[in-house]
Amino acid sequence: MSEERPYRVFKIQNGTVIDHISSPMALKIIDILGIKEQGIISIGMNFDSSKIGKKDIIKIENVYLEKSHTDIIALFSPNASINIIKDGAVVEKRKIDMPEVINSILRCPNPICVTNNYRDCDTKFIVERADMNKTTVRCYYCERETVVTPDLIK
Amino acid sequence: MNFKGKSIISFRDLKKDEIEYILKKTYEVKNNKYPDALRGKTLASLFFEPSTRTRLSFDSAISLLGGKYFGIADPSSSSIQKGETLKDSIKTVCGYCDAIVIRHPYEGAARAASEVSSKPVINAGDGANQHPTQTLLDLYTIKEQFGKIDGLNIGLMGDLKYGRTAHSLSMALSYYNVKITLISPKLLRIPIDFKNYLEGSGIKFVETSSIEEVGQDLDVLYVTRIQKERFGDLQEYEKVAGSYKITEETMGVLNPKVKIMHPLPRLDEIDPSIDKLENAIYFEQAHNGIPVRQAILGLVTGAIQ
Repeated sequence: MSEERPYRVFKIQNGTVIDHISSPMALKIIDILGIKEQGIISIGMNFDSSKIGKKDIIKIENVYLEKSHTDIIALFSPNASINIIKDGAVVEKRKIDMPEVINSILRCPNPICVTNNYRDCDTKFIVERADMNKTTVRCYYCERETVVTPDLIK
Repeated sequence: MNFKGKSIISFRDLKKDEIEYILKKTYEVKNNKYPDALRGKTLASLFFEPSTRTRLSFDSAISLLGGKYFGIADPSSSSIQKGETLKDSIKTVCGYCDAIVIRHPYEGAARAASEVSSKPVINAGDGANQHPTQTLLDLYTIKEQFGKIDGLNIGLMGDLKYGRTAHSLSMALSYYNVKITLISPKLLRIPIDFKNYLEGSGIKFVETSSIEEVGQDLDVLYVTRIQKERFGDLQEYEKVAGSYKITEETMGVLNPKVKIMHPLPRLDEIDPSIDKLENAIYFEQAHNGIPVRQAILGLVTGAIQ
């Protein structure tokens, strides 16, 4: 299989396409973006990609995701790209950037962190270091550093 | 510099000029420049975990400058037992006082408290995380003894893996032009997070297991307790703890002018025979908790500018 295979996940007329997602993170990414209820979503997984080996793709119809909303994808798939489609044409192509702060999405692995012990203390992490394979974040509350792994998603 | 309304939660939030300002105000408070400065001020002293020195020292700090305090010293008697969240407790208590001091077993509790409090919050220890007023009194004590912090070789000895005071002090010292000598058994070396922090700050530091190798070069030796519960094998503990104990014999391998500090309480890591030596400054260090906390309370309530 090559990227040119005429498969295509159902083509959309209007909406957001998230491409080059590292497999198999598509479902996690739908989760962290909180877009499950937002109209029709098509998902393709495990396509061959010359760029990243195996990739997933997500197409969300009639929803235009802002950059501030999609940057969180960088935690799990830093190579992902965003295409905004209007009337069948790509009107915006963009990369994602690592956010400086991550609110709510991750849980702190420290059992005695205040965020794990009071229901009204939500999590917040500061991104300390990030490269292609490893993102290190610091809990804003207990100040412990941790490497982000998918099991830290709430 | 305006500290009014500012919470003191972590050393990460303090810039060097702010630290220096607090130390300068501490000197002035200690020299009686602000008698009665806290008259009319009320401190809420919330200790969700037992503490002796820190709690007494905050209570005494505000009383000696004419202020009042109230609070909880025993978490089992408080509304925390009824399931109230920390944020709700703080939102209520901040209406009764001018500042809140909090010690809590959960790490990050003081930060969470400061987010909902309309009054400044001072962290008096959150789990193994931060205890900034302890670190400020450590810095003040060093400065008082030597007239400076820059240029000194400061040894931190003992449990550098779990010891909160050692972590916090090493972070604070990274603002200064000092050399840090980390002395601990291999098992209890400083965690990688802190090593990364020190490396990133460009400070000079060395790690060693042997006090004999480095003792002659130290200006300060900051001793912390090696905790028995960290060792599975008690025989191993006895062996390790014995080699990190300051006795009259150990003094022979140290710089004769070295100043010995300890955050207290000590168990047997410093032999009581050391107390009478001029090198021992750990009780003076503990006493400096009063002017440091008075300066901080004065600054954050606006009573001291």
